[in-house]
This record gives sequence, C-alpha cells and structure tokens, in this order.
Amino acid sequence: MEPTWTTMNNRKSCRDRVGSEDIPAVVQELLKDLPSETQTILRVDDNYPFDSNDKKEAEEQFLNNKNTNKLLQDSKNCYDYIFLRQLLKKSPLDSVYTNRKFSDANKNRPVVEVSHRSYEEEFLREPKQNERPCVKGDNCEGLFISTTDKGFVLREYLLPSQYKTFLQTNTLPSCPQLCLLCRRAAVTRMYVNYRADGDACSNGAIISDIRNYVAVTGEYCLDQCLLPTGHQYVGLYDPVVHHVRKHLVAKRISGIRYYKQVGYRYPDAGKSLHFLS
Amino acid sequence: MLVKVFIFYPRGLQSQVATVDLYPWYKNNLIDYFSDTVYRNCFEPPWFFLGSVDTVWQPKCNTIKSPEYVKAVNVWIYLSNHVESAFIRRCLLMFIDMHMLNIKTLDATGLFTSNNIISSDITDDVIPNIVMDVLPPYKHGKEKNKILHALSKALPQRCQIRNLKEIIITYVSEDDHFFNFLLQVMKNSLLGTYQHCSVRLNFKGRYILWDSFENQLTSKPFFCKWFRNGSDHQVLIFFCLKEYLIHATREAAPVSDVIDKKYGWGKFEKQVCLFMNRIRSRLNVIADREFNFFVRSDWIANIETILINAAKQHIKLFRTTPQVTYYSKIHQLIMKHFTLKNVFKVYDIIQPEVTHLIWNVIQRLYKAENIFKMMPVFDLPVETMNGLLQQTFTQEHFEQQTPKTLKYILEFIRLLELRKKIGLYVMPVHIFEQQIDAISKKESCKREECTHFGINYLCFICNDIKMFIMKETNISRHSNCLAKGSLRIVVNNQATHGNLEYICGRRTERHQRHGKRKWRDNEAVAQRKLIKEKQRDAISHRCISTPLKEVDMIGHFLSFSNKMMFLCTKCGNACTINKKCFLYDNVISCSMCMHHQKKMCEKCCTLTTCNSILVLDTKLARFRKGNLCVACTGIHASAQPIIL
Repeated sequence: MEPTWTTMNNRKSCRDRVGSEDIPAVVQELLKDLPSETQTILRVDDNYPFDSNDKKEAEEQFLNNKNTNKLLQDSKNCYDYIFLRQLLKKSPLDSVYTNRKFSDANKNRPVVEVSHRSYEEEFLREPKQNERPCVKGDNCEGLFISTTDKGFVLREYLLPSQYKTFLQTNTLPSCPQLCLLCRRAAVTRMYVNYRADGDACSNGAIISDIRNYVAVTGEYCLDQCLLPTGHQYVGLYDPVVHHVRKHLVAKRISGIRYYKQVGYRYPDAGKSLHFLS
Repeated sequence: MLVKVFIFYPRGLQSQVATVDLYPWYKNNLIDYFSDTVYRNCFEPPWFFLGSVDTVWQPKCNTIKSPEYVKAVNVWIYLSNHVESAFIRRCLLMFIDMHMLNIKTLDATGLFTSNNIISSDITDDVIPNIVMDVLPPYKHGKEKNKILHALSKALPQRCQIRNLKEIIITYVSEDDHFFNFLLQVMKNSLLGTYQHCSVRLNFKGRYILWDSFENQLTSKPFFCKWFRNGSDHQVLIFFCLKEYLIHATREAAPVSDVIDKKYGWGKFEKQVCLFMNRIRSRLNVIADREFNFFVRSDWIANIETILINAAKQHIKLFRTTPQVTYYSKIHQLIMKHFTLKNVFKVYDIIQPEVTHLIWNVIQRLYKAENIFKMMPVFDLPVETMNGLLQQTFTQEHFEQQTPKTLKYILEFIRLLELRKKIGLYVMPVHIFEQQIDAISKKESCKREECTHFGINYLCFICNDIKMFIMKETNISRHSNCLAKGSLRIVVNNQATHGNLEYICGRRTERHQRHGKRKWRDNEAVAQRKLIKEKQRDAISHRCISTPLKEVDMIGHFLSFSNKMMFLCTKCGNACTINKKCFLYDNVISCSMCMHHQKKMCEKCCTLTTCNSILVLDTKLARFRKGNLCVACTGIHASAQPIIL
C-alpha cells in the first residue's frame, strides 16, 4: 500500500496551509521565525485516495465484512468471524496445547539445576564483604527461625551456574536475589497455592529452578522434601527441600553466623560412618 | 558441639540417623543469654551460683549430696517465671524438661547422676508431610500412614471427631511409632512447648505430669484402658492434634499464611490457641494448689470440661466432598431432562467440525467460561448465553429452550470440563534428555529417530487413556514393562475422507455376559439399568465415530482425569507419579523397572536381582548397605552382622 502521508514541500497539489486547527499555537509562533523553505511539516493529502473507484469499493467491502455478524451457516468458513479469527491466530495456552510435539518445546525447555546439600550449606550464613544479603532484607526468612531469637539476614543464593560465573569473573548477577531459605519458603508458598487453586489455574509454570538430590548419601531424605503429586500438577518435577523453621539452628563459626540444618536428616547415613565411631 | 551419631535398633541401623547437637539449641541460647550475668554458671556443672533464690523444689530425699544442683534447678524455676523474653522463658522450661529425669533421680536418691538425655522431638519429622499429605486437596491412597490419618481427623472439617476413639485405640495397639508420636503430641500440648503457646505449664505442673507420662501413659495397656474408659479423653487428643497442626503449619513458614488467605485458617488457629492456653492456665492453678498433696484430683478430667465446650464450636473450613461446579450441575440436569424424554443420543446434531472449532477456541482462552460467548455463532439465543455466563441459567429455563440449544449447551459444558481436566506440561531439559536416552535404548535406535515413539492417544469422549501404564506388581507379565504401542484402539477404514483413522475401541471390548442380570431385578431397577445402558450406548456410538486425540509424551507431563503421566527416564514406559518415583534415582522414574535391575551379589559374585542388606565391610571398617542375592540373603541374614 502506498503512503498516504507526504511532505508539504514535495507536493504542490496539496491545499494551502491556512490558520491551521491541527498546528498548535506555540508551534505556529516558532514557525514564524523560520524561513518557509526549511519548514517540513507532515500533512494529510485529502485528494490522495481518489485514484481508483475499485480500490474504494474494496476498502468499503473489507470494512463491512469486519462489522457483519454472520450466522455460521451463512458464512463460508469460521474465519468470517473476526474475533474468532484473531483468537485462532494465537497459539493455545501452554498447558492445554495438546498438539505440541516435543521438538516444538525444545527451544524453551526449562533448565533446573542441581543444588547439593554441601553447596547449599555454604549459603546458610551471613554475607561477607564481596557478597550481597538476601533481597528481602528485614523480611528475610533467616530472621524468623524458631530456634533462636537472634536471627540474621542470609547471604544471597546463587545458582550453581551463577556461582561459577562469580568465581570466574567476580561479578554477581545484575539483580539481587533471594537467600536459600526465602527461596525454599517461596517454593512452598507457590506449591500450597497451586494445590489450593486446583487444576483450573495451572499454567504449566515450574516453581523452582533448583532441585535437590534425595536418598543419596550426604543429601536429603525423601520425606523432608516437596514432591510432585499424583493427582494434580503442582509445578515441580523433582524434589525440593521443604522449609521448616525448626530444622535450623544458629551457630557462630570464626565470628560468622551460620545456620546448621540439624533437623534435615541424612539418608542412609550408615554408609558414611565408620564402625564404632 | 555437633556429633554425628547413629542409633541401633533391634532390626539394624535405621534411617533416623542424624547430626545430633549434644548442646541442644535451647541450652546454647541460655548460655549465650546469661553469659554476662550472675547466672552464667547455672547451666553447666558444677552448677555454681553464689546468690540466694526461693526454693520451689525441695528434694524429698533427706540426705542431699548435691545441694548446688538443687539450687541451680531453683534458679531455673525462678528465671522461668521472671525473665522478660518469652523465647528465653520457653528455653528455660525446655531445659528443665531435659533435666527432669535428673531431678527425679535426685528426688529419690539424694545423689545427682548426670543423665544427659537429648531427646529429639519425633513430631518434627512429620511437619513436611503436613503440606503434602494432610492439608486439602490430599487424596488418600492405598498406603495409609497412621499418623497422617490421625492428623487429618483433626482438620477443621465436619464429622471429624466421629470414630476418633476407635481409630486411636486401633492405631495405638498396632503401632509403637504412632503411640510415641501421640504421647509426644499430648505432652507438647499440655506442657506448652510450642512456640505459639502464650501460656506454658509451670514447673510444678511439669513435675507432676512428667510422672504421669513416664510411669503410667507410656504403658500401652494402661493408655488403652485409660483412653477407653474416659468418655471425654478423645476430646483432649482431638485438640492436641489440632494444636500440633497449627504448630506444623507455622513451622512450615508460609503455609499458615497461604491457607489463612485461602480458607480462613486464622480463625481455626485463634480458637484452638485460645482453648489450649485456657487449659494450661487451669493446669497451672491446679498445680500450684496440689503440688504438695498426697492425693491429687484428676487433672485431665478437669481440663476436658473446657475442651468439650470448645468442641461444640467446631470450625469447618474444608469441604469433605468435592464441590460440584455450576456447569457440572447444569450438565447433569440437562442429561436428566433428555432422559425423561427418552432421548439418549444427545450429541447427534453436533458435527465433529463444531466440536473441533469449540475445542480450538477454548484452548486459547485464559478464562475457559468465556467459551459461552461463542454461542451466537451457532445461532443460539443470546439470553441463554448471558444466563450461562452469569450462572443464572437454571432448570426452569430448560422448557423454553429448543432441543438444539440444550444439546449445544451440553457440548459446550463437556468441552469446558475437558479443558479443566487436561494439561500437557513441558518437562525440564534433564528429564527430557534421559527420556530420549531410555527410548533410544528400548527401541534400539538413534536419539534422532525417537520422534514417533512417544506418540500415544486419548479418547476425549469416554476419557479413556490408551497408554500401557506401568503397574506395581510382583507378577511381571502384568506390570506392562514389556508392552508397546497403545491399547483399546480400533482402526476405522471407512472414514469420510478416505484415510485410516484411530478410534476408541473401549466399548467394543466390553464383555456382555452379565448383561442379563438386569432382568432378575425388579421393574424400577431394571428400567434404571436399561436407561444407563442406553446412555452408555449413545456415548460408545459417539466414541467410535470420533478420532482419538494424539499426544506426544516425550518431554511432556500429561495430566488427564486426575492422573499424572510421564515416560519413565529409565525404561521409557508410561507411568503415573508417586513418592517411589524418586527412591531409586535422582531423576523421576517409574521405580518398577528398578526393582528387577540386576546387580552383582557381593558374596557369590553372581549377576542377579539383589537385596540391599546391612553389612559390615571389614575393608572399610564400617557398616554399609551391600547387595546380596536371594540365596545369599537366606544363608547369611540369620547371622548378623553379615561380614564382607
């Protein structure tokens, strides 16, 4: 389609500018100081569309089609309904897109990183000089642990991939993040919400980008984790440790306050223990 | 000081092995809090305190050989009544509880013997299960956990106290763990050890109740007799379990907040806390009065009168039955309407193209109910559409509608319900990769050639799932582990467009041999059965004329009719999800294929199915789980420990 806008200087056929209603008074004043040759103002060319009657009819028909409420039996296809056509042009909601093939989803497949117990325990302490505190600040879950009245704000949790970058380049992620306990609490919150809302509200989102190992020596126990359920989608595919305030105890090591996960049992701990130790 | 310990039980090493702190957290807090005061040496031997303090506890034994300890205990009692910090008061009372055995020993012998008992609260282990297995919408499976079942009886729902007495007695008789849990829950509630308790039992009350718990209630026959004979004891346990639920939801951080917003949990919490604090206040009064009495009144009976009043105001927050939605109800009523008119083929005028169009539109709607806005497209009345959208369309309006309108409404509602019960979710990369590996191994093909092995089918008419789902059974031929393809599918070679199409074969496989039973019933029952049969016939007629819905299971998690299905990351077969899916591997799997995984027996070195048995490894000088075949298990298991 050709442009319907043109410049005043380029086209002589356009009407003269009179005390214009579309140019504000302030701009009019400014224009007085400029020579007319240098003024370039966009204006509508009123004569432009009348080039061909066919085009005019086509445009009218097009607009009429949009505003006709046809019955289904009168219409040639369902796309005569503009709102349906617009809707059907969209892709289905992710969770009910039953025609999706696995290759369609490969580009946007979520990544869930493994977070080992020993790795997590490194983040259950106060921040040091080059580290940031939890983004929740005074609402950090570290302040509400029930086994102490002197809680503290924990260090920001970094995903293993982010931590690798941090070690290599000494740069933290651009946005401050939650600490490990706030992260666990947030997962629990979303998990309970998912369950309470029922299937109707599930949109297929994953609620945790970390997962924990269970039933492995030195990791967590299965019954202390949140798990996917058998009757409803809850946004999890892997176990994630369930945050329990009572399971953490504050300790001070070399002047730095830590939380020890004393309530989280080790699975099959016999493997890692010496006989009669 | 943190020490790793492991506990020996009669049947060997248990999984309850944990890192135990020899200085419990409350002791650490006390030492820290009183570090700069005159009380700093009162919490550890030699229990040194120079000042004087009121004597609340005087040992009954005449010859006291540890007066420092007696003084220290009285200091703890004094501090527990006078310290400003509620947290430290709680720590002090817990510290006294820890020393109660020492106190009792000194009472009897006059001599202090250090019984350093660090009892971990066994009720803590249950907290993570509350969210998943107790709070709604939990569905009870075949494996019923006794503790969780008892806790579910304490939920704010109707009819909860019914049968509680019988259930508790049965479970206590059957299960020691349940009995210990119940005693601990009762003790915690009566002593007020939970964080939320604003009134806690004083030393005198604790001193008396400790005897009751240790010398009487710990005996299972005594407990059962006591519980059976008292008509109101179930109310006490009912409220103790309720208070534990409140404690658990608070400890599980945001759970309490979320369920308060969703269901109004706060109201329940407030009521239970109020009455439980009231009974502890009553116990404090009684304890002060009767501490030195030889014959005391029945304390429990006294407080139960308070709880009986509370039970009358039972709060009901959760539903006991699933809520039938407005649209489901309308669907049922319209079906009934047609049945009364002897019309069973209610979908006869609905063309497959219409269903296809409605389904395609509803897949794209965030609010599925908006699908009714599409009704005028099919020349259906706008008033009916508005009535359905505003949920004002009722049974009274049926007569004003044409059969066509009602049949279309049925189809709209059917697809609306279908939209709610289906979901195909994208799985993360790590699971997808393992699924591809499993399928390529199973089908002996390359990873790139796995494209079609995940395809399977669903019937959207009768909601039948056409996958062979792995079943847990000892009989391997029924576990579906060797099954391939789909089940109950018929190929239609007379499709309108000339191509072959897959249709549901569920009805055609249905056995008819019991069909004549209906004639033996009376007329009304026979009539009802005939109607049901005709309805089923109508559905099956539609079933065989509707192509099946194809779904790609690779890298997807399918939710259909309350079943969650996925392809196992080990064997590539379709399976449903349960807790066992994580027992054998770090990535979700069916767990059944792992049962029969062959391992090397560590005794006879045969590659076979092995049991995981506790063995003493002489090379490592430690216990560990070893793999032993069935034969070796039989030979060596009787001689514990099995030495390797």
